[in-house]
Amino acid sequence: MGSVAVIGVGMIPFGKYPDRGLLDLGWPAVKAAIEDAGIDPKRIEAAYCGSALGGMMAGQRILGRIGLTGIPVTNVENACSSSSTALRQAVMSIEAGAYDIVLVIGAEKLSKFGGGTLPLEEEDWEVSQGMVMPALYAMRAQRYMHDFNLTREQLALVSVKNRRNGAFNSDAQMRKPVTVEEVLASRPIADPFTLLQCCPTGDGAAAIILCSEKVARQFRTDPVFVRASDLTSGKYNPGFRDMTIPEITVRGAAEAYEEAGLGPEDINVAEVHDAFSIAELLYYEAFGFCKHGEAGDMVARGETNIDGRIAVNPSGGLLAKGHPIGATGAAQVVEIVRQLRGQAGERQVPNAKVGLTHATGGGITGFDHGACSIHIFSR
Amino acid sequence: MAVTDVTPEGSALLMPGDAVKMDATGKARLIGGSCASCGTKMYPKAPVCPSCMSAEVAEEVMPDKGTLYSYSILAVGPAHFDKPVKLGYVDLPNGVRVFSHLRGEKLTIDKPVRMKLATVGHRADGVAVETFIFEHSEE
Repeated sequence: MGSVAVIGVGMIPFGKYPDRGLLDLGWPAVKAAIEDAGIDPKRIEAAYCGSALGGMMAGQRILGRIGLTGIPVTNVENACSSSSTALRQAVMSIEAGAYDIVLVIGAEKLSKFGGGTLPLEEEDWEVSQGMVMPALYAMRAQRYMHDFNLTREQLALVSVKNRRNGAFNSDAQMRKPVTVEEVLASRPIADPFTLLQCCPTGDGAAAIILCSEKVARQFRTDPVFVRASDLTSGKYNPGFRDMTIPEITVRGAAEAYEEAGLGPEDINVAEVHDAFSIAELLYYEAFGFCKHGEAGDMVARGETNIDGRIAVNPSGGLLAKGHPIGATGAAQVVEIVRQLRGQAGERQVPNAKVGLTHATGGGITGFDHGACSIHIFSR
Repeated sequence: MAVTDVTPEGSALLMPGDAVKMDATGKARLIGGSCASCGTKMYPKAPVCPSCMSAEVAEEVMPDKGTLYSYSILAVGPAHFDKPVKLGYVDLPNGVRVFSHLRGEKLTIDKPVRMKLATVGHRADGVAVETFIFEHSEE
């Protein structure tokens, strides 16, 4: 803990790139991170690349474009937690003393599937019966609305906040703010979700350069330290699990806080997995930013705005920044690192000292989600 | 209870062959599993217990009535499902939660539902797709 530092971050703006393959999405992010670190690329000793649907050897294909192969390259798939998991592998490798300087990449090209919902595994029972990610989250929303009188307007406020934040982020896919009325009037997808309450499909890549604490200050005067690096998987429950409590994130959050020696009150800024509007609300509660049932009020009171008590998704989150699955985890880190360095411009969270990233992937029968990876960073 | 396999006429049954069977009265029943080692029950039946890894998972007939835990009405999904797709989770009195297509104009959380087989869409070649659904009962 505290022995791994981030010295470089980079990403490409998320969006639709019909004419660019995965390689040409990935290498500009890597190059940007290298320039951000001010490091000779030959000093990178290993790379971990997260991509859910990018195909075999995504890492080598991207790094081969810019002459960075010949080092150990590990490709990581963990659905929406792919590049967060790649980051964790990199952190562990440095903590174990295997390397001093490691590159992490997240890259995805979802536009190759056309539009529509993510292609899930047909072998899975619920998927074969029609389960898609919007349906899973929509059922969470319906139950939450039933149990806690959450309103459609409160759901829409998540989209409004994140679209407002995204307008300040030149790397976000969606750059135009929206109103509650526009959100609720957008195309119905899976009741209660309308289109603007679902993260957009797109492409993107992000990269991170990590190093051991002992060499960090050779590169930057403002290294950002990893305080917790957590990964967990869902627990099978064929019975009556409470869908208003994301059990995998609750467990992961407790583990991450314990590793960091911190609590929810210590977090200044968080990038959480707002794949759908209800998701961000559930995660306020799972991280202990508010009590169970109070998330709707929390967003309505502006407590999670950039200038609020705890800024959530200042980048615009998945709803505005976009969600090219494998790239998301790494992009969340890019945002938190920029926030902690004071480089976030109009999105800057005042006095940001401790930040958190959270990515979680689902779609397996009998599970809340399959994977959840949480990181905590501080100056 | 004596059971015989379902033999749908001219339709594609969207579930493994042994996940639904007819009982002696000709009514379709869901066949799930029950682990003899740890007591976990699940639908559909798994070849090994997902809780304790035991191979002693026996077939168990699932109750055909339950309570609607949650639902959604979707405009999206695979082409072979008629739109809007109504999907939900049904809690059965034996402790098993079932993901199911739903029927009915008005769906209400925590109200009773009961199971039957129905057509939920059509394949590209026109063959009807059939599976189990739950709908609110009149009681």
